[in-house]
Amino acid sequence: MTLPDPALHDALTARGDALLAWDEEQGEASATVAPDALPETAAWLKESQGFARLSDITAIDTLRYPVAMPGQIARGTPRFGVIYHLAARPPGAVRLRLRVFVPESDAVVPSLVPLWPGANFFEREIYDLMGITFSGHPDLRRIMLAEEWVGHPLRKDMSIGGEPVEFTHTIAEITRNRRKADA
Amino acid sequence: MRNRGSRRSAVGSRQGDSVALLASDQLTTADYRLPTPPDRMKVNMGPQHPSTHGVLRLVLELDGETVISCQPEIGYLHTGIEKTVEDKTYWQAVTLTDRIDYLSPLSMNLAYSLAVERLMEVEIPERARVIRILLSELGRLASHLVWLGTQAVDLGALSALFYCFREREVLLDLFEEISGARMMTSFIRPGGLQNDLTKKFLRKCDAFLTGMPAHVDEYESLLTKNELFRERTVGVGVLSAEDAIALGVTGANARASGIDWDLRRDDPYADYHLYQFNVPVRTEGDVYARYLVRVAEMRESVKIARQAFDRLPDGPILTSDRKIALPPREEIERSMEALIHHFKLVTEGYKPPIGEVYQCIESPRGEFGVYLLSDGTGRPYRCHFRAPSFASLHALGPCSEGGLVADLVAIIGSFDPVMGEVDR
Repeated sequence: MTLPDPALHDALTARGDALLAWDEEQGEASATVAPDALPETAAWLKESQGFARLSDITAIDTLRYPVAMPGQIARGTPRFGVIYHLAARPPGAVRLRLRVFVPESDAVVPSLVPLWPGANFFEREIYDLMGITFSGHPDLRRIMLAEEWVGHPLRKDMSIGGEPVEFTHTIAEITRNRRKADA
Repeated sequence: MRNRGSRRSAVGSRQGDSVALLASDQLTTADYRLPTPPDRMKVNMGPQHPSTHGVLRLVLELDGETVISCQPEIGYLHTGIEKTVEDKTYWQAVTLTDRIDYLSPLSMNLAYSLAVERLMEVEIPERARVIRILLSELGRLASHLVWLGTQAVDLGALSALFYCFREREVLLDLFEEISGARMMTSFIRPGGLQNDLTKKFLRKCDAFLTGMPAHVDEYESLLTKNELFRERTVGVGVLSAEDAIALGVTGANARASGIDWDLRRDDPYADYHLYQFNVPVRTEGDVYARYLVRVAEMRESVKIARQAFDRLPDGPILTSDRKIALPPREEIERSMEALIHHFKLVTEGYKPPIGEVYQCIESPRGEFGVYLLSDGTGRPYRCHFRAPSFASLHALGPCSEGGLVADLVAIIGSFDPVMGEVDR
């Protein structure tokens, strides 16, 4: 993984107020952009900066995250983040991470399917598991879970336990049942 | 994209069909006309279809034998690994990574371990680094052997499977020898390895690497020039280079479409830049090209594994950094400090600093990525796995549309999807 040319940061800054933050950590560069500026920024990165492939899209729920992520505070600390990983064609291994933050009340991010058709499944997965809507997605429905499922499991406020077990087979219960049968 | 040109016009060919029946005074012929046979039919292929390599369901729209549209429906193997990881300590989660791509668990272990090591900023000893390369290439061979065997069976060439599984058995025995498990190895861990290699492993591994190139010749003699195999694969399921990039297809599937992109060479991780190997690329983009690329890759894997085997240095297999690695047993009995480290690591785990990291590796199926977000506690705040098969499945529709149903079987096999990885 290599950092992009420093000129990329300058060029991004020059593109109006789309760029909310830029940070370089662990040898990876990340740019936080405003949600409404995402499609143009991504198109510009793809067409003129050589980021040919959208490697990955994922989402985070910052509900219990102890600190604000870079660029998150600029718009009132929105809860959800969508993370894009872009990769440039070899030679070189230039990668760029894009972050977009959206509030819970308006968890909508413009879809990147028109730009990279491969974003389709990734965005459906996020819609399914994190509950973020992608505007302009051609076929936005659940992909992993059943259609009738309620909730989005990757959200931090989704409980992971408490499912009643039908046959627990605990000693206490077996003894109780046996006593009941004997009586 | 639409490779087979035999697609019929969608409507109309059967519109004129009607059955002439005896007309009575009251009824016109039109009332006796049988309903027009549907031109298109919707069919479910899977999720229990033997050729779908797991539980993959395809919703097919067919016009006779021609596939009009093919929509993969996935999620039948969804086990919520990403959510479960959030509730495990960093080193407990290693065992879950085995279950993502269960055909190459060592690659999964490696990707996760590299991500954690980058978060923790830990350097691991050289012997462990070399063994990691050796094992991930053996794992790649084991995975490609399953692909080759099942791809051939899907096309009716039964014998290839037995040849492939004969060698895979040797590999699984090797993994069992060092880790105790044939498939869920959890052998590569943050900080190094679970154990050192045994003498028996070294002896058997040496013999395997010496014999393997001849075995690859054997598989090729069964298939590469086989007229029936070529007939079923050449020109079938063509994926263009532009589509491969746009759909996020990676690995051997992309290299068969002319995209010269291999993370081992272009974004070297785990010391791959120290090894000599070629990256096989074909431009045809069809099922046969994907076959040729993977078979050539098997030969390269043997070469890399042999280089790693020959350079195997002496030394420790686990970092001496007690922040991340358990102290050796003897030390616990002598040193109070070691006992405290042991206790802390087992009960709380280690705590990487706040931050995020994306680590990608070239798994047998393509770019496998681990995105880790740490909140400074002993458990990952968020862990996402970028699954190459997940992206490749998306290409299944564009590749198969316009082709025949029978070709679909060849196309699914050629993408080598592992449903555990697709659904996670």
